[in-house]
Amino acid sequence: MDAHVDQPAASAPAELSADFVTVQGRRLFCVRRRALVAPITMRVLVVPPFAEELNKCRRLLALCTQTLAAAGAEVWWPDLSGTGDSAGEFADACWSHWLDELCHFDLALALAAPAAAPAYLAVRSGALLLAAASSRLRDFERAQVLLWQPVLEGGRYLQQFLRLRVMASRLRGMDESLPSLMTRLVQGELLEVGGYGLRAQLTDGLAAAQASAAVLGMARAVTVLEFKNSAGASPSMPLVQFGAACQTLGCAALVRLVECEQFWATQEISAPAVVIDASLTALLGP
Amino acid sequence: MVSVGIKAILIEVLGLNPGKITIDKETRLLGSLPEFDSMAVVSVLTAIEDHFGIAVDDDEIDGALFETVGSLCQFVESKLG
Repeated sequence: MDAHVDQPAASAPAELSADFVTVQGRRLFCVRRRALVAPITMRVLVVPPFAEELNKCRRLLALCTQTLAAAGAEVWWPDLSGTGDSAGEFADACWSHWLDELCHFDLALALAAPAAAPAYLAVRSGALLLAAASSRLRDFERAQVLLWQPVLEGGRYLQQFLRLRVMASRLRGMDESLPSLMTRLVQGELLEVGGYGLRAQLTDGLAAAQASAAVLGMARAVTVLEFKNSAGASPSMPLVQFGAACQTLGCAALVRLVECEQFWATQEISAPAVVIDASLTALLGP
Repeated sequence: MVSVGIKAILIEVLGLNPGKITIDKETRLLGSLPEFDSMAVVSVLTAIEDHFGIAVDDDEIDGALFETVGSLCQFVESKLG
């Protein structure tokens, strides 16, 4: 069992399994937690965040998926190719492969728990993946969608990620710019940013992706959890607008501000319990 | 208000203690606030883009932008139109 899998206490009423499956020739690792009580009320597919944000979220996701399973759900959390314990290097990751893999696990989970209500937990840029795959997902229009601090625009997110390299270069006295880095990606170059290798086969899809209300609002219900560490902070305008736009489509949308640190970006690994509580409430009710 | 949002972002991203430091439009940032290093610039820019829904171009980033809280607020207000 891989070290990153958070083992529940001996008395937790959920079954934990983890194994490798092969999707299009790629060996992918997936952690599955299944409530031991019948019936399984909900099936939840975790759509993971990007690069270092995934590492920062692992402990919190492990605890959250454990809690959801203990509350009656079946939760699957795959490592997409080139990430986590799945085969392949991040530098060889491909956006279209990630979409295919997501759809594979979605179908497999639906077959494993066909009577359970469908749900997705998309973390940060996982919202982009979910939106891009949504038209291919089984039962998306019946699903509950939970978004943790969703990234709404892939292009901007990629630029923010590349900005890490620009700043690091300037600290070393070099002069790199975002446009020059984008050009080098287009030309087929492998760019290293913050320890992660990027190629156009990944970044093209990421840059084009949008977690739009027009797409995600097709789900039955959408809950956005935004996380800020300041008491009395105001929600972000784009997320408020996103929630309102989902509602106009008839989707039961809620944007909720949760007071805690931004766990995907903290120096030390953080797993705020309020995130788990809010997620449980969002998906399974108070 | 933009200034309220900017202040909250600086407190969150830089880990400032609002009880120990006064943050207003005259507060000097780059070169004055120890926590405001080059990597902090990246984090603050990201937070500003995400919170206000704006995009900051590469050529808009210079030292003058981060001179004070006020200069940062003025920039965001200009982007919001």
